Amino acid sequence: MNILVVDDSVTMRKIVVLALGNKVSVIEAENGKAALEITSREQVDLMILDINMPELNGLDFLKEYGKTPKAGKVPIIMLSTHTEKEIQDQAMSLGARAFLTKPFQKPELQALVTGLTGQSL
Amino acid sequence: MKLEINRKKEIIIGVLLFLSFVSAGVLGFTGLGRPAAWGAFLGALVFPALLWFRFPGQAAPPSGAVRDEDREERPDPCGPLREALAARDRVLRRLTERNLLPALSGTVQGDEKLAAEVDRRAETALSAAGLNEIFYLVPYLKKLLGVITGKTEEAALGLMEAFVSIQQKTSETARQGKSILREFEGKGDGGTVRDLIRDSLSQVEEEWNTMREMTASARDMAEKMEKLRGMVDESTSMLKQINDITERSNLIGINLSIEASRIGGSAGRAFKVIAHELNRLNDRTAAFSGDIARRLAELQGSFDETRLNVTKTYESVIARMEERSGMLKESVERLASSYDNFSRISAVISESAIGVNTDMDSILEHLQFQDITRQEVETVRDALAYIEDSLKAAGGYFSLCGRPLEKNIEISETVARKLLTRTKVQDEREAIMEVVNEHSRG
Repeated sequence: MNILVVDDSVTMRKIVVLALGNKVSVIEAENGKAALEITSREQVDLMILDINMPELNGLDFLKEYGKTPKAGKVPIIMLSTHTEKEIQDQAMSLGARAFLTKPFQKPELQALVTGLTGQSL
Repeated sequence: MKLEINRKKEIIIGVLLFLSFVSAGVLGFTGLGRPAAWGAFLGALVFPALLWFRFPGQAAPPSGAVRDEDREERPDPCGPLREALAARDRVLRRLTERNLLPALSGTVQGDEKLAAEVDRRAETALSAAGLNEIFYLVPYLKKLLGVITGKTEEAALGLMEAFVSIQQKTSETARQGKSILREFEGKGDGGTVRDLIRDSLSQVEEEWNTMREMTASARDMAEKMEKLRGMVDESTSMLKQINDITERSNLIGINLSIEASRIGGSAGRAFKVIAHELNRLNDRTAAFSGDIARRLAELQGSFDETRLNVTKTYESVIARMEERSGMLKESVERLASSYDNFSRISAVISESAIGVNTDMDSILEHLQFQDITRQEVETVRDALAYIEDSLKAAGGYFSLCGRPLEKNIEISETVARKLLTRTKVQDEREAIMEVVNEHSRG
């Protein structure tokens, strides 16, 4: 299973990678623009996406990704410090399947990934 | 105060316009035609009204903006500078209008004086506002925050790497411990290692008992040989009695020979034959007795030697077996004890591995807090960068005064000196010196 982790913080990406464990293959991207490029050429089974990022933020990525043929086929988990309901609703309306706020707990993330992919970590 | 003066001006202009339009209207009704008269009346109403209320876009300043009226009432630190620049522009404009600039070959004496005055006033204004130091403080703060966020991220990644290493090693140790335990507990032909150890202990006990039995047999054999030795001694004693009898029989034989000689005749001959036969029997008995005695003596020696050897050999074997059996037993017992200890240690390591995993989860959660804080600090750094850009723009404005703000290395060094007294880490000092050098080069 290939999981794309999109976050501008190296530390946060590393934390997510460690939380996901060794049973999955992780691809990292530092912003939405890099993520769009990766999704155009790589097989991705799930995405974990931050919102506040330079170049192309998470919500704009969802808008752009929504225009591609792969839209809706890959589950997306938003992982952000935003707790505002409006932003969460906006992300969900743009195609995200779940919203997890930072700081997250490992079991929460693992349960979401398992629930969305059907594969245990 | 200024607001009231402006409003009065507007009222006067409005009244004058009203009067002029009324006059135009009266004149229109009398000589210029009605449309013109109505136009004049309409103008007389509309223009003063517009002046009175002014236009809505001008009347209501956007929210958050500082209204001119309010600004007028506050002291403006850049006021002298603005006034000086406006004066300078006016002079230049006048010189240009009169085409005097080319005549002065591009040098305006008055302009230089004015520039010096502006420079002085600008510095005074900046100093009064504390802007000059702030202008140089911001790059340092930005650099220091960069060092902090960089080091924080570096530390977080290092911590994660170290803890992952600990987690992997602990897990590997626990896995190997479990694997060894599984091998110990594994059911083979001989059962588990625990069973084997128990069986070994039983076997040792069995061997021990066998050795005890062998010891008893050896002692029994020695005792029997002792009895046989006694019987040989008895036989020797009996042989002595036979020798005594033989000796006495010899004496009888001698007496018979003497008697046969004394009697003589046929009777004497008969006695002589008997004496001869008796002497021969005595000789043979003595020879047999001697032979038996010699053989008994040999048998006695053999018995003694064999009994001694048997006893020595068994005692030696038993002593060695006892020693080895004891060692074996002790080894097996120690192995069993080690196995129990290893089982306990393995269980502790497994629990530790689980504990390390839980700790890792907790560390990951706390590192997220740290990273969020780091990103917030980065946002502050971005804000400082924005302030720095704004100040640089202001510096460009002030550079008209002839002394560009961003090149005032003295202030930069003063700020750096102040900051250096407060630094605690080498990285901070290096960051400050980097900015000083940038300013020197710039």
